[in-house]
Amino acid sequence: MKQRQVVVFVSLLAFVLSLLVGGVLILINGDNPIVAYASLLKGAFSTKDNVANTLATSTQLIFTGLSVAVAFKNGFANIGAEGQLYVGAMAAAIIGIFFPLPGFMLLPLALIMSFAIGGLYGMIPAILKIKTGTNEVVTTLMLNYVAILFTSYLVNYPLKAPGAPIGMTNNVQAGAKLPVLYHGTRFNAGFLIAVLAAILVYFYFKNTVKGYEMRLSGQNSEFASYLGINVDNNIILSMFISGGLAGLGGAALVLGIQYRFVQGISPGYGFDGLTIGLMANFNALAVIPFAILFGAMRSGSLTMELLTNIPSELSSVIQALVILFMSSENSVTKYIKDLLEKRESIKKQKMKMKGGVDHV
Amino acid sequence: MTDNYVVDMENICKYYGNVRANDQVNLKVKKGEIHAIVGENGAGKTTLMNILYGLVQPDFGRIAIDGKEVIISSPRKAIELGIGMVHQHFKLIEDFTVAENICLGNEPVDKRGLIDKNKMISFVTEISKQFGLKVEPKKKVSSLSIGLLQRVEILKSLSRGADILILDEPTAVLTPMECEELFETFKKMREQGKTIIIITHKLNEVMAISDNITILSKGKTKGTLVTSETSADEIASKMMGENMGKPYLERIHKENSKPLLEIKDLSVIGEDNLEKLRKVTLTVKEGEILTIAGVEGSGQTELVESILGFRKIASGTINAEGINIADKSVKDRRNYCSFVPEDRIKTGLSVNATVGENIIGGYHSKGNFRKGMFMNFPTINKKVHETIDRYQIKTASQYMSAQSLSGGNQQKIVVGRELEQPNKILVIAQPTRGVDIGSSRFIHTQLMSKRNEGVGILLISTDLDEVFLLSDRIAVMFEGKIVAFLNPKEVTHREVGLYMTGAKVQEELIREGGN
Repeated sequence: MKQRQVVVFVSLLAFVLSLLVGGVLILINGDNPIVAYASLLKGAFSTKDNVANTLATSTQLIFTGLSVAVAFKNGFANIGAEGQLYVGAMAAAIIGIFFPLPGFMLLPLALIMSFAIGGLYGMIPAILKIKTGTNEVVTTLMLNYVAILFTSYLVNYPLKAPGAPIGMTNNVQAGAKLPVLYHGTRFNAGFLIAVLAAILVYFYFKNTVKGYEMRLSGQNSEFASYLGINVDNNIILSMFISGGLAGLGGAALVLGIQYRFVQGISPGYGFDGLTIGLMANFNALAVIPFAILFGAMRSGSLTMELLTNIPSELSSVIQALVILFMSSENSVTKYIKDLLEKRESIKKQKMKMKGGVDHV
Repeated sequence: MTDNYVVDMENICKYYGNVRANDQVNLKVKKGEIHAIVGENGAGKTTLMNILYGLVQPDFGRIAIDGKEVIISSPRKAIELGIGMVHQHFKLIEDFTVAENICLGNEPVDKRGLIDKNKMISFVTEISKQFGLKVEPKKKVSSLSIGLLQRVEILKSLSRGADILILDEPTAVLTPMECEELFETFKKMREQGKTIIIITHKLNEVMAISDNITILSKGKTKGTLVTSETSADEIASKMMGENMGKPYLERIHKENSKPLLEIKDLSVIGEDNLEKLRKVTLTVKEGEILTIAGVEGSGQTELVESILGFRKIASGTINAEGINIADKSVKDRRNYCSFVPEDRIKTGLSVNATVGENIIGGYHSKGNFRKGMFMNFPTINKKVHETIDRYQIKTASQYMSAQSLSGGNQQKIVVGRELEQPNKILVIAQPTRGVDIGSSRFIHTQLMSKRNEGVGILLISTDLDEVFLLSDRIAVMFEGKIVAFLNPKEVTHREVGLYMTGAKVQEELIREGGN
């Protein structure tokens, strides 16, 4: 329990520090950080429509956050959620546009295929690591570009909608669209699927044999293999699930928001997922609130851009800062946490030295 | 009064929740002595030393160094006060040289602000001479033996001006030879006026090296003794309370026992293309403890890893209960063999997992412990509770993380998990390394009762006392070969030592070995 509190504390502290540093940057830019953050908050939550839009953005982030959580929990550093999202989105788009099926079959098929294709794409770095020992950080990162550029080729040439000004496909069929939950916004049923996925992943790690094995492998792979657990197979399976979840994020984007595949469809949701997973300490349920937090920053920053001179990229800056604060083990946050703890006990000692010593 | 003592800790209290790690502990150490702190694992020795080194802040109590009351808020403060600490697990950077490790953080720089390697090497050579601790400054740390690593750690502390040196279980990982060298080092340091505090639970060492002894038990001080006026028995009874002294192992003899683990002509080639095992042949029978004795690195690790399936074997066969397991997966082999690895932190458990998760590992996917793809928690929890009770694992609950337990209790998790599996063969390496007396005795008793039930045990141990205590037969290993099969009743420690160091070889084994 105590450990969990520390984790939450460090995550939130990292976030607050990032906001502070971001505030300094805003000041340097000649703006008022309080006004900026207030407009960000307003953009994210002030009206029902805003809240719905925030949740709509969060949907993709829950999926990519889960993707990251699954892989990292098994000890596999998957930096490739972005690429897996792209191939999953493409799979959903192709099914949604071309398969002549009724809606009750079309939508599930599109979702399943986006999961499968994202998952298979995620398995590539896993297999490379096991067979040849390549570092997964490098391969997953590079495969992002492969996916982004390949899908970009597809939407600019074979799949390009006739007469479209930029690389994009035709719209998906009506039956492939995720039902809208709040009218006038893009808040859609994908959000419910994302929450369901988070619950499933949570119980998967908590209650299933494979989930237990994956956790042990992630904590100490040598020990796991000494127990007779097939660590390699588990890595492949976990990367299938991880890639699949990112792929579903892509499907949610195509079938719930854009209704088509547009070149460069994700503004970096896969990388946001990395921050979210990290902040959630790879706990599937904790992914949800952090995904909403980042969804709010993404949707609120657009309003902020309108009301102030600050570009919406500020939210990316803040995210980068969060990673920076959290990732190094002896980071500022840990320093502050230790300092607070220590100060408390030193204060106690000092009080002991001043007052009588021996009434223990 | 306090000015006689270089370290004076009074009334130290440290609570972790309801656990009283230190409860009104007193420690008084004179300048220039070797002071031993003894106690069971979990008695609070390490906590006390972590407080002295500024790693942990006490809840109550006062500390005086050289007669001056101080608050040691951090290791840096401790170093300023002349306190150095050598941890049980060394904190060295493997890719750095000896000199770079010793100077880490205090590197000498030249005029351009770059690290001055020559100065660094001459500095290390100088302090090495000054304290009579020989090291090769330019050697990479990764190539050093454990004894030398420790020496580098000691030099590192001394080079930072430590006058009071704390060593946590310094001999736990050393060979007998290295221990003797270490003791010589201690004596030299004492001559130079350094104060040495060692945490240990090996009483023969305490008797051999220390001047004074402070005994801790369950977080409390049980007294300070002058070594020359006491005996190992007195210390042990103070440490353990009343249940000491009884003989605790009963060996039941059995006739006509079947062979369980048969290894024939097993050869293994290491990553460096050297032969690590050379035609090893041995048989472990039902109800027998066969011990592999040997200096560390004689091929024991390779033997264990080949049996468990972590190492490719070059030739030979491994039969378990008459079935060749040499080609089987680790998981399949584990249906025959239970296994306790030598390094419990690295391969024995996951310190981040809970006690329960560690206990269930290995049979989590077998029988009643799963329901389809799910963990069957009622059965699992029952098993976990049984194991915690039976192996007297001291933990607040099964949901505590394994790293919150003391070393002895962690080892009990590993031993408990493996002994609870219904296998006929047990391969167990260094079962009591770094484990306190109480837990050691407990583990020994468990092993013996498994043996009496008919389990065949292959024990790997570098601790000769343990070898003699437990074995039915001793196989001595030297440079990857078995050089002798001995009956513990017919040989002395010294003789085994001769075989271990290659000074002696049984004739008939040379002929069989063919090399």
